[in-house]
Amino acid sequence: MLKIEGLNVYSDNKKILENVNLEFEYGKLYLVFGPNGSGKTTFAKAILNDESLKKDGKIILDNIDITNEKTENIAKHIFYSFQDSVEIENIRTRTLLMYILDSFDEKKILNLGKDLGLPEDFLDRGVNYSLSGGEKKRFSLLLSILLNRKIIIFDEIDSGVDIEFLNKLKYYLGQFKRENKMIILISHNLKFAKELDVDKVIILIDGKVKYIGDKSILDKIEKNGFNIF
Amino acid sequence: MDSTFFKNIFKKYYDEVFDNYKIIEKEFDINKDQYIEINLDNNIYYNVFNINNSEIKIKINNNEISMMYNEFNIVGKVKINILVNNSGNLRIYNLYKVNGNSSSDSIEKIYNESNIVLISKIFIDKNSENSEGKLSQYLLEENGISILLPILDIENNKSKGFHGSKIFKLTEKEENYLKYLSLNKEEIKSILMREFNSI
Repeated sequence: MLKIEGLNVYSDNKKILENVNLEFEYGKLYLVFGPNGSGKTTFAKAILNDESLKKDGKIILDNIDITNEKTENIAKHIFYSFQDSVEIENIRTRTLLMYILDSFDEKKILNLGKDLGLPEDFLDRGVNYSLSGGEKKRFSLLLSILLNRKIIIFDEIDSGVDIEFLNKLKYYLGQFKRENKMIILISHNLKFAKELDVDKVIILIDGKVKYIGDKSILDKIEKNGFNIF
Repeated sequence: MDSTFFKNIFKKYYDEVFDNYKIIEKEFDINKDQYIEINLDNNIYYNVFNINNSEIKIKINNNEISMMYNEFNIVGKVKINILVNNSGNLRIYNLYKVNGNSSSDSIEKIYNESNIVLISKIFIDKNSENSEGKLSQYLLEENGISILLPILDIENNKSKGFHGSKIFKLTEKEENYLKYLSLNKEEIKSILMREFNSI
């Protein structure tokens, strides 16, 4: 279980998140929804103790306090898929994967990459280098499959991608649930979110949690916008 | 050969300490693929490599205050691969003289933990037609100061020279991305080193 207790997060001395209290369970899909600038990405990065953020409160993972643990150590349990993946020209994808994966099965990786729509030579390119926006999202999904972390946070992986990828994503979100993983999907894509087997919706507005509940709220937001909160 | 020659080529990077150094001159005739390792001491090294249709790999190790001049006289199709491991204070001048109807493909890899000035010049004179000189430089630096000065001096219109360089360094943003993939600073450094070595 992942527990967030009284979390306040600050960036450049500005309060981004205020008194966030949440609980996440394994085998469930959570949708974090909210307007631009509501603190969704900050929330995800705070869980991984991003060093650019200041915070108070507690983050407990499986009864262990990880509030001040190093990002690289938390990342051994939680995969965070960046909204804007960074391009690293100097490190080839192959080399990176050889370091971060427990076992490097090139054939399996290439097949999976092909299935997800990555360019044939993606292993020989720099990490995310010269990939289009959509291809970067595909690579993030590939990482989420290969790394096999018990918690996955997708930050807007469903934006700027085609319908084919959304179908793949939908399939893998279901697959991760079946594998008893905890999935937190940060999204703006109301239509896509409504198609998913979401267990809980969390609405974040101006850094505050305004709603925790089922996905029927999405219909209300579709009709009336975020003014209902 | 005296220190004036080196003062002229290194100009502001020449240090008076070199005035008292011994100059060690060597000439190599290379007609087949060869590997040469050079360990530098507190001397000035003046090397001439006459290379004919071959590939040469040179490893230079330095942890002293040293100066080195390497002249490559290139005939035919030549590949030159130089690896510099520097943890001292080093000045190197590499002159690639490409003759007519010849081509050189030179790679300079520099691993620097201290101070290095590397001046590399591709020179094709006015009488050398249909020639090509290519120079690629790769730098991996750890707490060092590196000054790389590539020069293309192509006097003949029917010949060409190319230069490219790459610094193996990550930005904070790139390092942060890798932390999110569970890599710590030491691991990131080791990955970069692996990529550098694989060139």
